[in-house]
Amino acid sequence: MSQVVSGEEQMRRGRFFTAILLALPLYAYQGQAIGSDYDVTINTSSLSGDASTLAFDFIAGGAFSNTVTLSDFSTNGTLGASGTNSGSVTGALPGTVTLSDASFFNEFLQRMTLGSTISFQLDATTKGPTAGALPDTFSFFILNPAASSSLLTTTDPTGANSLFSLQIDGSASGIVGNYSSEPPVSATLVTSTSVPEPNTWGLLLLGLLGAAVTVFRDARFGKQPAPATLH
Amino acid sequence: MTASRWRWMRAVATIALLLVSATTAMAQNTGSTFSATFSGLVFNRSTNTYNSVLTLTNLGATLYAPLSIVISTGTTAVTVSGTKDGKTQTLATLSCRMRQ
Repeated sequence: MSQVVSGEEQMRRGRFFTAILLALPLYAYQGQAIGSDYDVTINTSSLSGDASTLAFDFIAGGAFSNTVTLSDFSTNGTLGASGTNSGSVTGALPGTVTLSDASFFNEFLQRMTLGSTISFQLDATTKGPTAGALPDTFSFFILNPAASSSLLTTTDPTGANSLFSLQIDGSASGIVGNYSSEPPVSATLVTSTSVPEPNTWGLLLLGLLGAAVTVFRDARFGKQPAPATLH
Repeated sequence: MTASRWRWMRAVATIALLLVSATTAMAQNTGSTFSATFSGLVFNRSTNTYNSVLTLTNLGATLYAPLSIVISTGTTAVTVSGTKDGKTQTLATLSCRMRQ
C-alpha cells in the first residue's frame, strides 16, 4: 500500500533526520577520550642548581599506534635549549610535546638547570600489544648535560636508570614503574582527574529532543515551505 | 610504516620463541603451564642497548633444576647482546627448583 506524503511533511521528516544525524557524531565522539592520564611531580631538590638534560623516551613495541603527550609543564628551574630529538616528536617545552610510535625510537631532550620541582601532565593512548609483540613504553630520565649518561642511579630493573616508566599494555592505566634513586629524586604519578564528559545517552537524548522540538514546532505553527524561485 | 620498523617487529615477534628447557636426565615438557613475559624496551645509554625484563612464571607442577633459559630472535636483524651468532644465547641456568 502506498502513501502520499505532502511536501511539507517531507520537509519535516527531513529536518528530523538531519537533527538525528547531527546528534550521532556527538554520540560517537564521547568514546574517544580514553587514555592513561597522569599528573607527574618530580622532586629534584637534591640536584637543585645542577645542569642536566631531561629525556622523554617512547619506544615502539609492535604493529599498533600509540601517542604520548606532555603538557602543562612547569618548573622553578631554568629551561635551556631543546636537544636533538629522535624519531617522531612534535612541539617544544614548556608547550605541548607529542611523541608517537611512528618510529621505533622516539626521544625528546630538554636541557635545563634544575630547581627543586618539575611537573607536567602525561597522557598516553592505550593500544596494547598483539601476541608476540612488546608493549610500547614511555620512560623518563634525568641525564648529564651531554645526554650521554644518567645523573641518577635508580632501581629500574632494566638497568637503564630511568626514573619512571609507563608500559602501554592495553589497560586503562598501563603499567607504571616508579623507581627510587641515588641521589634521591622522587617522582609522584597521580591519575589525572579528567574533565567530566557528557553522558553517552544524555548526548543522544539531547539530539533527539532537539529533533522532536523542531517537528512539534513545525506541526503547531504550520510552517510552510518557501516558494521555489528561479534565478 | 617503514621497512626497518617491520623488520624490527618481525624480530620481536620471533623473540616469543623463547625456549625454556629442562636439562635434567628426564626433560620435562613445560607446555602451557609456563609463561614468559617481556616488558617494554627501555634505552640504556651506558651500554647503548634496548633492554627488556623477562618474567617467567611457573603455573603448573614443580620444575626441577637445572633449567636453561635460551632466547632466540631467529634473525640477525636484531641481535641479542652477547651472542656468538647474533641470534641465540643462553641467558641463564637456574640451579633451583621452580615451584608453582
